[in-house]
Amino acid sequence: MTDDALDGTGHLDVETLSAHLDGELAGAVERAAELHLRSCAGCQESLSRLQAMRDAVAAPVAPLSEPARSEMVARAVMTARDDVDGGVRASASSDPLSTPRRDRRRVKMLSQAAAIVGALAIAGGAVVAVRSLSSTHQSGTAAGAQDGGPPAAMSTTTAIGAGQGQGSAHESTGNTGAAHSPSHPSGEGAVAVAGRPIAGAVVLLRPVAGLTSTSCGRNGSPTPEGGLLVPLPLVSSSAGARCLRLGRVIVAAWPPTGVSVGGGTGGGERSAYLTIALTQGAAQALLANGVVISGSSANLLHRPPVVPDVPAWRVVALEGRSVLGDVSELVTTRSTAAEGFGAIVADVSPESAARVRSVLSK
Amino acid sequence: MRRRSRVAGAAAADGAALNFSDADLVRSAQDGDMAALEQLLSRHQDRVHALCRRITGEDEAGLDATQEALIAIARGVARFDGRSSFSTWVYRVATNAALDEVRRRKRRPVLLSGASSDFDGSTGRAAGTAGPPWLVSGVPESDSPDISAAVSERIDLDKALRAVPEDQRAAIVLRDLLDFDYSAIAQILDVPVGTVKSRIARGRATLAGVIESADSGEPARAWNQPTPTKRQIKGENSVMRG
Repeated sequence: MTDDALDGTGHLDVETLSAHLDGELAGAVERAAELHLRSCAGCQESLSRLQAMRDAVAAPVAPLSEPARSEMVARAVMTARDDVDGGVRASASSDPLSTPRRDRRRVKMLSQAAAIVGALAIAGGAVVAVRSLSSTHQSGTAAGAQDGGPPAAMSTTTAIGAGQGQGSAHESTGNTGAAHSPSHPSGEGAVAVAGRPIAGAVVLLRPVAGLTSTSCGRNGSPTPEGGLLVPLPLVSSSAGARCLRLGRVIVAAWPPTGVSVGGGTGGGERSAYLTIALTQGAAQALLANGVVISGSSANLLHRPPVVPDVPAWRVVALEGRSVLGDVSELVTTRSTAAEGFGAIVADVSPESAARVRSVLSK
Repeated sequence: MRRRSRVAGAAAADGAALNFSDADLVRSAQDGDMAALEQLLSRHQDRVHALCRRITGEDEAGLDATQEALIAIARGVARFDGRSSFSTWVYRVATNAALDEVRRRKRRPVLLSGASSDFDGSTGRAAGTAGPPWLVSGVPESDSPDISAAVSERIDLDKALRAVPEDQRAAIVLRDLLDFDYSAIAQILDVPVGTVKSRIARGRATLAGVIESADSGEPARAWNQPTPTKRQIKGENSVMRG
C-alpha cells in the first residue's frame, strides 16, 4: 500500500476511495487500494457509503414534458434568431460563459430604472399601466438613458385589490396578505404586499376575449389581434434576461394550458411570473411611455394551473425577478374587467392614475 | 443570408437527421441553419436539464437554468471554436448557468409574510393541492403516490445536496448523474483533474455527513472529510473512520 493513499489512521483516504469507486485509479495505486479493501472492513464500509452517495446523486431526474421541451428549445432558437434578425449578434467579447453575469448586471441596472407592466387586454384593448411618479423617477430616467432605451420610470407594484380574498386564487397563491398601502413610506402609490414594499409595477388588465394562442412566440402563431410578435424593447425573464433589445412579446401557456399562478411556496419562497399579451396599440402605448416589458417565465410552460377555477384572464402575475433586483411577487386578481380597472386606478396615486388614463386614451 | 436548412432537408428526405454528428450540426448551425440548432439543443436538452435540476436542487430553478443554458448555447454556438468537444462546451455552459441560478436565488429576498395562506397547517399541504407543499409548483396533482414518494426522496437529496459546496456539487453531479470521467469534468469545470478528484471526494463525504446527520437527528458534520492534501494529513488525526 502506498502511503499516499492512506490517511493518518491507516485507512484509505476518501479521495482514493472515491476515485477507486469511479474507476479513476490506475496501476499500482489501484492494485494497492483493492488489496487494502479486501482486508479492511472499515474501508469497505466507507466505500459503501460513498457508493450510496453516488447512487443517490445518480438517481434519474424527472424528464421534461414534451411540450416543455419543445417550448424551451423554440425559445432558445428564437432568441438566437432574434440576435441575427436584430443585428445584435453578440460580439467577439460576448462569450456565453460569461455573458449571463454581465447581462444580469445590465438587467440589474435596468431594474433600477424600468417598470414592468404586464398587460392583458383585448376586448377594447384596455391596458393599464401603473407607474409611480414619486421617489424613483429620477433614477429611472437616468438608467433608461444609459441603456439607450426609452426613458424608464421606476414603478411600484400594485396588487390589484378587487375581490381579494374571495377565493382560491388568493389562498393558493399566497396573496391574501397582499395589501394596498397608498400611504407607503416609499412614496405615493407604492404598495406593500404582505407588508413588504414591492418595487415594480403590475398592471391589470381586462379579459382577453378571443385570445387563443398557446404558443410562446413562434412565428405565425395565432395572436391577440394578430399581434403576438409585437416588436418591443423586451427584457425577458429567465428566457433571456439579456438586455434591452428588440424582442417579442411572448404569450405563454395561455388557456387551455392555463397560466400558472401558484409559484413555489416551499421554504417561503415565492415565484412569480409575468404573462403578457398585448395588442399592438397597447404595446405601442406602453412603449411610447417608457415601459419595459418582461417576458414570461419558462416555468409557465411546465405547470398546470394550480388554481384551476380561476380564469387565467383574471390572473396577473408579475415576473419581478429579472428586472426588479430579485424581488418576486405574485399578484392575482379576481376582479372583473370593470372592477379591475377601477381597483388599479384606485390603488395608485391620482397622478399616476391620470397618467395611466392618459396612456390608455391615446 | 441564411442557407436552406441542410438538416431539415435531409431529415425530410430520409428521416435520418438524428444521424448527424454534433460537429455536423454545429457547422450547420453556425451557418445559420436554425433546424440544425434546434436539433443540437434537443439532443442535449435532457441532460442539460438533468444537470441543472440536480445542481440547483429545485424544479423551478432547474427549469430556469435549463432555459438559460439553452439560450446561451443557442446564442453562443456561432462562436464555438471547436477547441473542446461540443458536449464539453455545452455542459460547461449548463454548469455555469446552474451555478449562476443557485447564486442568484441565494440573493433573492424571501417573502415570509403571507406564506401561511399557501399552507394548510392541518394537512401539511399547500392549499388546493394534493401533495406536500413543496410539490405545489412542480408536480401535477394527478401524480401517483409512488411518484410523490420518489419526489420526497429526491427532496431530501436536494436538501442534502444544497449543503454541499457548489463547486463540489457540480463535480459530483457531472460525475454521478451524467457519468463524465474526471478528465472530462476537468475540462468542463476548467480545473485540474486532481481538483476534480478532490471535489468529488469532498462532495460525497459532505453529502454523506448531511444525510446521515439528518437520519440520526444530530447536527450535520463532515463525514470522512479529507483534509486539503494527503501530504498534510500524515501523522494527523483524520476524520476518516474506518
